[in-house]
Amino acid sequence: MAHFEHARLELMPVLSAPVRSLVLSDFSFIWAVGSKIEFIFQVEEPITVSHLGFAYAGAANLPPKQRVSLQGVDPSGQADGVTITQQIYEPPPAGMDTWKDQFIWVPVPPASVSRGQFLAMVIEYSSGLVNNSNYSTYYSYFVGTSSSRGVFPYTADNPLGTRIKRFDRPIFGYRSVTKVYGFPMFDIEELEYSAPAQKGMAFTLDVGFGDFFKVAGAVLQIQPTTSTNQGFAMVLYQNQTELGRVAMDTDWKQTSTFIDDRIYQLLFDEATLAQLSFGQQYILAVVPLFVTTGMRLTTSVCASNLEVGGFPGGPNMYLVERDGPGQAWSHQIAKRPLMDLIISEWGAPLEERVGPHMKLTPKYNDPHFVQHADDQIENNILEIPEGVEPHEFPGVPIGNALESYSGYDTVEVFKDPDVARSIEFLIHPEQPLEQLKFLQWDPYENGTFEIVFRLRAAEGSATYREVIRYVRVILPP
Amino acid sequence: MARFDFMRLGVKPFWNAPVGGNYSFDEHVLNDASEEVRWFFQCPEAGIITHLGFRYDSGSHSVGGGGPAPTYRIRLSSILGDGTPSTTPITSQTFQGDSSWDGTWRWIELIAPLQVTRGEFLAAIIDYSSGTIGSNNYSQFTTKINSARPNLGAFPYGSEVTTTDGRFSEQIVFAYKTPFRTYGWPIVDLEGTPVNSPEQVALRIWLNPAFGVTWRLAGAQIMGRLANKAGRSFTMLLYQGSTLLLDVTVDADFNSTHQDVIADILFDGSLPDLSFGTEYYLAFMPEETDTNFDLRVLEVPAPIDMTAFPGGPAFYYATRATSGAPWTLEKTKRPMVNLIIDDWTGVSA
Repeated sequence: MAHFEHARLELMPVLSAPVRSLVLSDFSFIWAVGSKIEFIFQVEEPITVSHLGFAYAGAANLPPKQRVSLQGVDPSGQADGVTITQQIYEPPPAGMDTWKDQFIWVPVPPASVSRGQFLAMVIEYSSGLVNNSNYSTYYSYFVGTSSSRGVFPYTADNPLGTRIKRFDRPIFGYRSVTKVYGFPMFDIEELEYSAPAQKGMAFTLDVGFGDFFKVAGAVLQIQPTTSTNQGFAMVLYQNQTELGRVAMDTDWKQTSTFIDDRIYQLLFDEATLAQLSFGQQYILAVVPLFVTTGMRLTTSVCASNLEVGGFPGGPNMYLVERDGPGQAWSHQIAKRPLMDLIISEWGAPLEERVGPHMKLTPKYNDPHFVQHADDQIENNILEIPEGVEPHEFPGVPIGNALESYSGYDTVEVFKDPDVARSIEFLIHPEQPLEQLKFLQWDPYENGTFEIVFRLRAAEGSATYREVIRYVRVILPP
Repeated sequence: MARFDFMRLGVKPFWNAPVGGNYSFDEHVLNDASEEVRWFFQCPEAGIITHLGFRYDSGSHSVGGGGPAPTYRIRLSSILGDGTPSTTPITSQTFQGDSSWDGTWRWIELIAPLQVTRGEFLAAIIDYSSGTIGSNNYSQFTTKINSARPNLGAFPYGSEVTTTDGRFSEQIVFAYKTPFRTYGWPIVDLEGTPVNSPEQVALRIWLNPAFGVTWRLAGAQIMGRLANKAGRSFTMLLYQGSTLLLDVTVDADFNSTHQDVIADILFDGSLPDLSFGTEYYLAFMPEETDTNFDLRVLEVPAPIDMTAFPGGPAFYYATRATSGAPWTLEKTKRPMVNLIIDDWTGVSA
């Protein structure tokens, strides 16, 4: 597998996270003839727009007819008034407000848009009585206790007659017949629970991405109890099977407050991380360890799984929960917990690996060593002695080769034999030969490095023998 | 190709970012023998810790009463059940700073290297060791990064211990290293250098060929100031060598403010297949001579220290005077740019 350098597949839908106590702002009003809410964004890919969507907060008495439209953007960053598609709609009156706190999709005449196109989705007054008693309100962005710092895409509204560009994450959506785009949510929930209940995120990475990957940990927006001497664990499941776990004492966190959700970066502590498969569903759960351990997990709420598909990573990542270990998971496919996966490795099939960057080059063309060395470079006919098998593939221990070569059981690996055997130059600590793999080599510099295998006659033996080999580090271009 | 659904390959260096603009280091003055600076963290991988690292801000030798700094100790300790570090060091080393250390990253070699396991919880602590300490004899250490907007990190975290345990939620500035990798947040500088036409700044991109066969870049999430005044614009460009693969021009007024922002910028048109194992440059070019485009950039002590950040040393900062000029590579710097991936084809697809 290829080292992924803990790069994150950022699935957390909050662009400007972390924010404190996420709330939806309902201060965007359509309560005057000139009222307008604009969402300035870029189109993610070329589609035919069939619907425009918004998070509707509610009505006061009998709201006016309103219009939602797609328009271009003028040089000042406002809607340019040139309508691409539009629809007029009539929100239900306050007494029968079935739209209240819902994400509403308004069908529009189909309109083709192109990738990267800058557009404005505009909600504005259309006709009918409108005043301070007859109006609609919208959740047009959401904020935390401490506001965000400015974004693109963004929301602009004019609640008091003056246009204001908001700094916070806009809430809007547009869609084709099959796929949703934008930020189509209508609520944030802070789910509270305690042991033995479990909540987490189900995730499936597309089978086309490769063969295997490993999850090193996650970034979570959670908050455990204020009580001392409590604990919780982050657990990786494949359905009922536990694949990884790390427990944390709740006293080992920065804050004792239970009011605000906070950001945790937690890493699994298994010596070997489970090898996961693309196309397979896994569950990353947050598990209180005691009945008295309160836990809060933050999740976004959408109308359906179709809207969850509008978030990074798509529809296959959603909330799951259950009453306790061994119970069936309940799949809440319209909710996305605020979690990022930290990936440690991401692999292609072994037989296809051609990539970097580690090569053991036998200085003396030892064919036995060549045959068995763990080699992560494509075979080069010039480097393979005649009649010797091609290099093997990465991930294969070289221990057998060394053992048969030297007759020893354990090995330490040092760089540069011309200096003392200092920890500074230790590549691999002493370990059984069969465990020695060269899966990683940091490609900092070009050149050939002489390395020393310091072999112990047997585990615990004071007798060593040093074997010199060469390592060529090949840089990326 | 396999759809990637705009999942982001997070090469963004801050685990707790993005935060508001106006980054600055925050220091703690250790001028009392009872005070400590603490950082609490997990080890991402098994390894042998040989050095602990911190940013040394300054001291009495430079900004105070003129006296020499005392000798301090830096140590690793386990974390007790109440969340405080054990007073028993697992390993440690003493050091004494002077004016030549000001504003630099310092690696302190431990007396005894420590073998750690994946996911191990540890605390690193700086405290007083020996010598005169007081208002005329002290060092001040960078503990965290402040911004216009508070972070809300709960773990990892740090603490400035005076008469109270002053735990803070901001991004910590601390790192450790093994013989061949660095872990943590070895940030020695934060900067944003405004550029104007025809200058370009870029993120150098290289994805491991073992990850797959082809991929497509939809755009980028960037942090910085797009322009400092109205009526300006910039272009985001993707280069392979001297070949321009993609570009999109953005009116900087299409934005909520002319201060630091977090912006998702998407390319338009057809996205080309990109290759793993091939170098690309995601560049930003102001369109005017007074755009003052200002991409946020962090700096680490040495290229190897980029291993501490997602994506590793394959991602770094590049600048050039004009389109077509050779890139000046700055491998100790990482612009605050995330890649928004459109497609990603594994070998088995």
